[in-house]
Amino acid sequence: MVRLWLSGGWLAILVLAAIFAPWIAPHDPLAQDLFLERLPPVWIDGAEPGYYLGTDSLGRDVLSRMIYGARIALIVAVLAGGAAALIGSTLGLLAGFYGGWTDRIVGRIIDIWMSFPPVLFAILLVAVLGTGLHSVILAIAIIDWTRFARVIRAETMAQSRMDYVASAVVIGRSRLGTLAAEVLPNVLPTLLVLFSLEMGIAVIVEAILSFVNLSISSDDPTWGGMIAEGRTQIHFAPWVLVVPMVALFLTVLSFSQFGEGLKDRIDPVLR
Amino acid sequence: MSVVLEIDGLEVRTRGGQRLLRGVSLSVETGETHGLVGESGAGKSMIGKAVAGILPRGVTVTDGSIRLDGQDLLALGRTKRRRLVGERVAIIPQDPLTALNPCRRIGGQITDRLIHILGWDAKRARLRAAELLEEVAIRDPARVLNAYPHEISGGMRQRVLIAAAFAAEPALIIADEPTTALDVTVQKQVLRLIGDLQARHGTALLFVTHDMGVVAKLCPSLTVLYAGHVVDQGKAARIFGPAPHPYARALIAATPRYDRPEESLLPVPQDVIDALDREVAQADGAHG
Amino acid sequence: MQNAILRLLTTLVTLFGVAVVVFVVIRLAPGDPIAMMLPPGASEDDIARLRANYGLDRSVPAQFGIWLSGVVQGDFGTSISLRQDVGSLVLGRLPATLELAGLALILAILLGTTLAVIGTLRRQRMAESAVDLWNGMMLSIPDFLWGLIFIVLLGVVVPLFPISGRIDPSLNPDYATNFLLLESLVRLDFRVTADLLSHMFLPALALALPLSAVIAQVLKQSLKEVMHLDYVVLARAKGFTEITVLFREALRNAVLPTLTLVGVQFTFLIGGTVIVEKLFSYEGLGNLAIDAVINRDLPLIQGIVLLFAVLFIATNLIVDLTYAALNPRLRHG
Repeated sequence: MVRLWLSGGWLAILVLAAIFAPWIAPHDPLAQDLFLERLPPVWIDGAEPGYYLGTDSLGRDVLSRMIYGARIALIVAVLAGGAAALIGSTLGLLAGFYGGWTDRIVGRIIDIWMSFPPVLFAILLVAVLGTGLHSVILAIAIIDWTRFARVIRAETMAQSRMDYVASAVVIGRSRLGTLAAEVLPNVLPTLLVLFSLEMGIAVIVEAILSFVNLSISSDDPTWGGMIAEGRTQIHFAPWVLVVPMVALFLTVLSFSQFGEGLKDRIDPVLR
Repeated sequence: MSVVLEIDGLEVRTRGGQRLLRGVSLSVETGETHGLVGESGAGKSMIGKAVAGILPRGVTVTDGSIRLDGQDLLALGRTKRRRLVGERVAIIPQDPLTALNPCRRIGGQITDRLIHILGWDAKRARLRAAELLEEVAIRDPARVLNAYPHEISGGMRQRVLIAAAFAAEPALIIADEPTTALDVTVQKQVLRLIGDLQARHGTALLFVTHDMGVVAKLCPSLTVLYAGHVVDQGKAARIFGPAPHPYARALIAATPRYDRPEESLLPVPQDVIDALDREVAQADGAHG
Repeated sequence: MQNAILRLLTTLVTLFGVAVVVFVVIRLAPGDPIAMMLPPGASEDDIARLRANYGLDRSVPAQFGIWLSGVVQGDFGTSISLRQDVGSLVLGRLPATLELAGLALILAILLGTTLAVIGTLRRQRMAESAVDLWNGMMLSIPDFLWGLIFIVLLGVVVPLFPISGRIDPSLNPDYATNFLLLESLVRLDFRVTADLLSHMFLPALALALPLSAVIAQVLKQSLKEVMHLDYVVLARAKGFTEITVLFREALRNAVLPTLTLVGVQFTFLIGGTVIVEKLFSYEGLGNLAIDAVINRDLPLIQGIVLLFAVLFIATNLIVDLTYAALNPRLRHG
């Protein structure tokens, strides 16, 4: 219960920050000022008022970049997570509901897909798709739909054996109608849990890709890009690395804990 | 003859407070075979487990004493107690299929206690194990010692377990329904084997069973349990004689006979059960 | 025997499939690698000559044929960005990655087993929920973040370990192979060993933590089941201490279900080296892979991906063999 509130709280803050970024951020995240480079955060001597979390090596405000970075992180989380959920659960539902050949083919594809380590897969895909936000989102969806497909397929199979599904078919509802009306609502809680977990994964993958400079251009404020920049400055300006790292840490942890918390609450069977 | 095992007022409870044994007392002397009988759930296995210190999780001894060679086991710490029991007590388990570790060779499973608890050297332990396997009529001891459990038959596994129990010359052997998992013909052989070995080695034997027929053959003295309560105790001659306790009589009547298997078994009559329940309730009341 | 041949054949088919897919997929990539090699303003002629040089002017199937016949002879082509033989480049970096992954695996097994054993032996609710909480943390934080956290905490705040590179350049060991760690052990050159280990420790730990949680979780579950099987209970009655019982009787049986999972997870760990090596500027395959992708170095990407595929297949093979070795029921047959 506590973890649902804590993680939900952090995510709510993040969403608000992302939506109202232009009003909240004290500075332009792209504005460089070489006179203000590597300013420490306010609690360290030598800080400049107004730059609460210090500045990076180009004099850009770390707090503002972090807030705008939340935008990109959440856009990727929602879009990539949503796309993966859409592809994965559609295939999972069809495979689980129809069984037979559909199921065998989907199952095989899932096996092949899952045998490839995700990070390597992502880097290879981005190499093919080219860098940029859209390819990051696409790559995540292409890789991670299996997470949804696998679980939803199993869940659908279990649901399809229930009496109410059989009786719906007997009443004369079409197969597809039954799937949408009877099975889908029952796998929805599971889908929600998976979606929360997936958003955490998407955030981290985006961070990794922008860390290795395979996401959007390095000027744009992404947490991964900030981390990459901070990594080179670690001995002179550790806050440039620490701030986005903490944000990333809390966000990833919150998404997974939120998912786990939901799981415990809505479906004890899933555990 | 000296007393090997002396149990006094043993009470065992589950974590929830349910009493599995209600003040059981009994003693076993060197070379004696003592039968523990009762229906399933009567708590007879719990006595053996309490002595060996292997009660299931959440089940504990709450009262009474267990003395092994005069030493109060319950007063010892866990490690010391386990060590003493390991040196002096052996168990012949119920199910030979699950009582051997599938990942270890038979030889090691017989000798590890000799080597690690009794401090024998490996060579001597192995010779001893081979000797014992011959004693339990296993023809090719060297092969069996090197085999994994899945490579030998169920009856053979039970004989291996018997050999393992006797190998360390324990003062007391607890046989926990050693024949229930075996088919009838093998049962007879195994019983004879245990009887022979016990007579030869002079070990005290606590024989747990629900089978009155087995008790009649093997045990000169016995304890009859009902719901964790000692209903009757004494010489077999008396209990199997003309005037046994009604419950013992009912158990005897409920025993299948090898010579007349077609005869229908009589369940324990309801009035006997009612009388027993009253007796148990009374004893409980007296206990507080 | 027949099984082994079948196994080998499927392995080869899988590898061929991976090679085809990678080859085709990479050719679909937009962007011209040749354009990146030449200075701006190079003539059309220069570009065409270079294309022909790398065989890029032919059709995709023809390119594949040329590449495959080269691979069969051990020639993986020439890296476009580094202008070196791909085979020797990749094989030169492989030992560094293998040593890192190996160390990470050892750390993960030690940590995971310790946690599982503690969770099993200490039956108090406190200990168990502490282990569960720890596991949850380990599982939800990926290796990349662990690496960052270690860099900050153990590299900067309390600088106990170096945070970049594989070895102190001043040591510069003149070794025959690039298996520096193994070779330093063989040569009893412990100064080098210590330096290598201190460089490897943080990246290896970052890779190991998530895997250790998986091991702890699964192993604890199966230990729990095994610990009240009859033969384990019987071993207690034989007089052994709880910890002896656990290691001697229970662990080996409990390990079996864990093993398969660890195999799969270990391939993920190998995948994870890519990013962790970059993070710690560790000169391994992963670092090379990222540079290759950024530079669109097609022959190099192909070589690396193929090598990773071989590693995954080898891992699965090793897992199967270990499984059979640990399970006597599978041994004779």
